[in-house]
Amino acid sequence: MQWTDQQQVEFLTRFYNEIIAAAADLLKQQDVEILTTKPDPNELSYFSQRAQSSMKPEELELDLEDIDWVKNALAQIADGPESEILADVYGRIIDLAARFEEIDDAEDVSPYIYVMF
Amino acid sequence: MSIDVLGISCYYHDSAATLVRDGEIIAAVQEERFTRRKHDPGFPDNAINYCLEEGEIDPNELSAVVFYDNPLQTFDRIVKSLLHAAPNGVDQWLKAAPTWLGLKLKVQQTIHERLDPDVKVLFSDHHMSHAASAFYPSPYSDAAVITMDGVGEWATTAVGAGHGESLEIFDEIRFPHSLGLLYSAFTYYTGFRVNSGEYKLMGLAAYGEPEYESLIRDHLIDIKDDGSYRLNMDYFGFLDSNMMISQKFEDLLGGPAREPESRISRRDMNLASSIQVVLEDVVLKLARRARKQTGLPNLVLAGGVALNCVANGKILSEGIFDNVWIQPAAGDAGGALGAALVASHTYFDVPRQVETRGRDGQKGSYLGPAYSNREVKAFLDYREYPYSQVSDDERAATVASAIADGKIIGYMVGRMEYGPRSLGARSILGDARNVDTQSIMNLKIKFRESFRPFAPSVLEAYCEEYFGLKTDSPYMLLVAPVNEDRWIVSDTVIPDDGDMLPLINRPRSDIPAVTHVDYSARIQTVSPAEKPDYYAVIKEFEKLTGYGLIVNTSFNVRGEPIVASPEDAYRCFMRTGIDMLVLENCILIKNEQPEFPEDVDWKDTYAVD
Repeated sequence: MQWTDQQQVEFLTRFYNEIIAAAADLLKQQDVEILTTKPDPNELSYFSQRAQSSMKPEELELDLEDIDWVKNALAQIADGPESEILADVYGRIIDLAARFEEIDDAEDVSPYIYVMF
Repeated sequence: MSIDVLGISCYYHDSAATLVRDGEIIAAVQEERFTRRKHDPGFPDNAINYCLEEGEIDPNELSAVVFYDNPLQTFDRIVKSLLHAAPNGVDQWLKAAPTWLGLKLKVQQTIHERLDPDVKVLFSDHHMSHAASAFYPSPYSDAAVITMDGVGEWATTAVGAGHGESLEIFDEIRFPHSLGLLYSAFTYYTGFRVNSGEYKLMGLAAYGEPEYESLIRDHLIDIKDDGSYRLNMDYFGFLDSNMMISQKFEDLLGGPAREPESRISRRDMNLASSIQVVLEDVVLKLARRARKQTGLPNLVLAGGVALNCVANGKILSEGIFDNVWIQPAAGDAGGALGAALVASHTYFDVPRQVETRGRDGQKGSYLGPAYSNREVKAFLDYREYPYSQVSDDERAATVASAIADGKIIGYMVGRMEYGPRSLGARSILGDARNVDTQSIMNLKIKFRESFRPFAPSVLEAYCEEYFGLKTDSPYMLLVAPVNEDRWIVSDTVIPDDGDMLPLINRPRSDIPAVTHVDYSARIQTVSPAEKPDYYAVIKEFEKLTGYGLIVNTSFNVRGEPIVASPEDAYRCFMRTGIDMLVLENCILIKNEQPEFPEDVDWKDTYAVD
């Protein structure tokens, strides 16, 4: 799909409000804490144990070219009581990918914020 | 038939490619060296082409291409971060969505389109890639592993162990709690560029006092005895804005961030010192815990935080491990190597060969492109640049003599280094004894901040004569003190106006150009096995002067990627105060060169880093 920058911004803003912010509201209503953001003096350690300590050969195989496979894999990543909401958001975002033309190049590394997204 | 695995890292920082054949590293290089775009995050077409050429292999002959990161896990983190930040994360979403949906999620498709539609594409795990880049090339059969960076997928710090071909990560610290991001927040706050200025902050730390340490510990980070930590996100902006810090961070530390390129104050020095002390505390605690947890005498490190060579030096000097090895391409570029190694040993079951001659499998990190004398001469003849051709022995003697005469040399010989440090293949060289070398190199060659120290390249056998370091440091990733009997002790107090210049220009030892304000040095030991031509230069210098070390800094100007080709090197030579250029066996003298007119001011070409 070809669209102008302004159309893209409007579309993504609407998507954000209708899907992401709405899902966030639902999670808040359910008292789901998505990220821990504060130290806890009662914790003895902040380490998380890895579910699997080493990589199995099959874990190296992903099929990112198959949208259904991607959605299914993401639905499995979404765990906990909020999994349904998360899986729905993931699926809707992945569906957007088809509307975005392939970009040739990544943006320059930002001088202001660590590139993490 | 060989197992040829191409590793790729891209789309975040420092994209790169690596070719590993039957577990041996054949080639590795960062994309920025070809595109001349610093920290280039783009798909590494040029780096891939070089690796395939070096390995004399076509894409359809590759056993697999391996991406260094799992995009689905990263996607999970990004969406959860957006959900957490909602309704405040719309700006991040608008920035992230087009590149994620149009580029990062399509990496497998891109690999198939650009390389071969049938090539097998595999995916590693970000911190497993870092861990593999540290463990597999190391000289140890068994080692504890620590990786630390900003963030990769969900992890920011990981601890594990390697035994033979097997590599495990036991536990990790998860986003948003990140030592790398904490350090980057202070990089931003002290006026340097995030993603590249972190090593400047480390260099600045030596000038300051850690007077903000307790504020940092009380408010920004809670550190447990086992080295695990958690940030208080009230003070940081990276979860719900496009900034590293929040207003609360500025309020806590007494004001806004320093304007880039403005004068560095004593306060900035103290901030740098404070965060460095906190970082070292975490790193040392993590190391002690890893030693206790694994019981192993060897430690390997990777991830961007492992480029903090001051902290690395402390691990050694504290004697927590008997041996420490650090991946020279410790940042994301090294992820390409780690991914290729993970697939080689985990997916294809290639047996691991540990170097038994006391060296490692990294080959000195001289893994990039080289140019033959024939290619260099063809370039120089075509451009009609005057030069003389010399033998290897004559080259070493000529360069050593010029350095002893106070000249600055651009030196490009052999395969280019993989990783951010120049190790004598793409280096600018000078006399460590000369009190003026630091200021000349900083201001007339590198055009960079005057406070930044230079590193010595020292003959391996002479290291202990100069420095308190009892191990090799071939990758310039360890800081150790200059021996006290060489010190020239003087007042190190910075005046109230924060003017560092008088202090910087004061000699602090008989090798002033490489002695930092705290009498430390970032050391590269040079052995004849890995880099005979460079060893010969320093050896000749030692014969002339009695000093077995010289100054070595990267062959570039501030903001420019390190030179790769003869053309890059010649351009840098002509733009700066470098006196002599060495291109393989060809030597060029500045005042013999023709005018070098340029249409634009080259200083506008590179964003200052």
